[in-house]
Amino acid sequence: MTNLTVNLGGMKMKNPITVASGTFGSGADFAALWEQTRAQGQTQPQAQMTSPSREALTNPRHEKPLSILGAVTTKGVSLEPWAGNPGTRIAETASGMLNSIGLQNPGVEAFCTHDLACLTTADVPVIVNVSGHTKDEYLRVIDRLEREPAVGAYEINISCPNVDSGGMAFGTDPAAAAAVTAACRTATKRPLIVKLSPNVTDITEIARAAEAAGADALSLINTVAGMAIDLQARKAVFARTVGGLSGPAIKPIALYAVQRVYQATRLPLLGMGGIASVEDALEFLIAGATAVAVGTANFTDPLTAIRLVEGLEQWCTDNGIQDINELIGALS
Amino acid sequence: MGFLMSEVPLQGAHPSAPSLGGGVQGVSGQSDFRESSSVQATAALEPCIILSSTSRGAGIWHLVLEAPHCAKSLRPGQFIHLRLTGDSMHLLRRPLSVCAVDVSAGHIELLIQVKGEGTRLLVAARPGQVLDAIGPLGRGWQPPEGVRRALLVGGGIGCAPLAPLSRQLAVQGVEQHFIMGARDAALMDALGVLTLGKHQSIAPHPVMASHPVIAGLTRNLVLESAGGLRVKPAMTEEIGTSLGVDASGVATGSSLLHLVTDDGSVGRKGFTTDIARELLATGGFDYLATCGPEPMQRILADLAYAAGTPCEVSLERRMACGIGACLSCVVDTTEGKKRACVNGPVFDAREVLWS
Repeated sequence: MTNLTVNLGGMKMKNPITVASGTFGSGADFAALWEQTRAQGQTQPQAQMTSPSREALTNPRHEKPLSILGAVTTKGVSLEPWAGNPGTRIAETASGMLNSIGLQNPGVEAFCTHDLACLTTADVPVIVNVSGHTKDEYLRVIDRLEREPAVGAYEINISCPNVDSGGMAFGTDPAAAAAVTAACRTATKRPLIVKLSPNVTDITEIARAAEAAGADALSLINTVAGMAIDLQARKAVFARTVGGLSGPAIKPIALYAVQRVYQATRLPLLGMGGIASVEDALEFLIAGATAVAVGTANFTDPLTAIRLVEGLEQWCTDNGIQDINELIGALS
Repeated sequence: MGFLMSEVPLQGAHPSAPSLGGGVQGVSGQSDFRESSSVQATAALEPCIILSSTSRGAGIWHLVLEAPHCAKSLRPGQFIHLRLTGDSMHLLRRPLSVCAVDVSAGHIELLIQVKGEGTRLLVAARPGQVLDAIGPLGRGWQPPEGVRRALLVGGGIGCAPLAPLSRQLAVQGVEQHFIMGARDAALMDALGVLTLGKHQSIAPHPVMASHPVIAGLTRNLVLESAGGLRVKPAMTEEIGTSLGVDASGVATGSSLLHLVTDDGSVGRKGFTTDIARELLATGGFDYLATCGPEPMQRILADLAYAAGTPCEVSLERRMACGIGACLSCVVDTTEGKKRACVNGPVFDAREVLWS
C-alpha cells in the first residue's frame, strides 16, 4: 500500500490531487453528479460500466464523493459580490480553451453561508481561493474566512488575467506580489498558497518575492493570456479582448514553470496546467510539485480527478513506489 | 427561420407582465411558471450507444442513442452534454437538445445542425460507437398549470426542443399551434422528423392526427419509414400549402402546424413572428414557448407580453461544465446573472434582459 499523503505548506492531503479554482465551483455540483453516476452505475448492467473512473466511483470506501480528493479548491471569492464579465465567456481552442469569466462570485458572506456550509460535511480539506481589487480586500476576505473552521488553506489569486484591477496586476510585479502576500500573512496562520501567473518575464522572481513575504506554498500556473477573434464580426470574442488559456495546450508551459520555481524556492508547489491523465500528474510531481490540480479536464470528463486518485495509486503499486513523496522533484 | 429585427419595441424584460388570467382551473394566486426543483439531481454520466446516425440534408443529422437513464428522467426542454470523440483537440462537450424520447426502449433522439468542427465530429461517429453524455440537464419547459391553448414557435433547429413539449401538451389535451420556421424547403424537410417522429407507428403525433392532411401524411410516413424514414419534399409542401396559408383552423379551435420559410419555398413566405402575431391577435393563448435565433425569441417575448400571454424562451450559450459550476453560460436576467445550464436553458421571458 503506497503512502499517498502529502503536506502542502502545512495542509495535510491524503493524496496529491485537488481541482483548479474556478473549474469546480465549490464542489456541490460535481458531488451531485458523482453521486448520481454512482447510483446509476449500481443499477445498470455491468456492460454500461466501462471506464476506470466509473469503477473508482463505485469503490465503497468513497462514501462521501468529495472525500476522494486530496482537497477541494473553491472558485475565487471576493469581499463584495462580483458580476463577472459581460458577453461571451469561453472559446474552444486547439487542445485548450479560453475563458473570460471575470471571477463572478457572490461575495464572501454568501460564500460562507452557502458554499462552505456544504463543504463542512464533505470530509475533505478546503482550499479557498481569495481574490480582491486591493490589498485591503484580500485582507478582509481572509478576516471573514478566519471565522470558518472548514477552511484548510488560502490560495491567494494574484494571477487572474480577466479582471481590470487587482488580479494579475499584483502577480506580475514582485513588489506588489510581496505586499499582498505579506498583508495576507498578517491575517492568518493557516497555510497561505500564492497562485502565480505565467504571464511574466521571469516567474521565479515573483515566486521568490512571495516566499520572502511569508507564503507557505505556491500554486502555478494560472491561465496564459490569449485571445480569440470572431472572423465575421472582425471583433474580439471577449468583451475584454483578453482571455485565459487553459487545457493540455499549456501543459508544457506549466511543467517548465514548476520545474524552474522548484529550483528557485524551497516552497512546496501545487502544480496545474493541462493535467488530464495520471502520466500528466506524475510529470508535475517529478518536476517538483507536491500536489497537482485538475482544471479544464473537469469539463471534458467530470470524473477526471477521481480517475487520477485511483490511477496514481495503481501506478505507484505497479512501479514499486512506497511513498509518493519519493517522486516529488525526482527529476534527474 | 424568419424573424424581423425590430418590428416591435424592444424594451427588454417584462417584470410586470400579466400572469395567467383567472378562470383557468385551480391556479389562482399561483405564479405562472413552477420553479424548477432539483433538476440537477437526476443528471448522471451515461455512456450512450449510437443506434443510428442519419443525414437529413441541409446540414441536419438525426441521431438515435441508447441512453436508458436519460430516456427515463428527461423532461421536455432539458438537454444532454455530449463529449466529442475522434480527436483530442476538442475538450469541450456540446450541449444538445433532445427532440424525442422512447422511455420503454430507453432511446433518445437528437437533431444536430452541423455548425463547426465539434458538431462535424459528432455526426461522424458511427452506429455502435459509444458517446459519453451527461444528462438530463437544465430547467425544461414549465407550462402554466391548467394551460389550454398553447403557441409553440420554433426557428430552424430551435424546433428540436419544442417537439417533446408538443407531444406532452398533446397528451394533456392542450390545443396547440406549432409554427415551424426555416430558411427554405430543404431545411424544413430536414427538420420534418421532429414533428413526424421516428416512432410514428407506435404513437402518431396527436397534433397531426387531428388534421386530415397531416394524418394522411403520417400514414404515408409509416409506410416510408420501413425504407428509411425520409419525408418527401412534395409531402412537406402539401402540409405547407394546406396549413401554413390557411388560417381557418384558428377559428375552429383545432391544433395546427404552420410552416413558414424565408423564401416561401414551402409553406408561407415570411417570418414565424408574422404568423405568431396573427394568431395572438385571435386571443385565447395562455402559453407561448419558443426556441430559435435569439432576435426571433425576443420579438416573440415582446408579442406575448403585449398579448398578456405567459412566455418561455430557450436560450443557447457556450457551455463548459454544463452542471452549474463554471459560470461560462450566464444569461442576464432581472435577478442578475443566471446559468443557462441549471437555471435554463428555458427561462420565463419576463426575467430575460435581452442583449
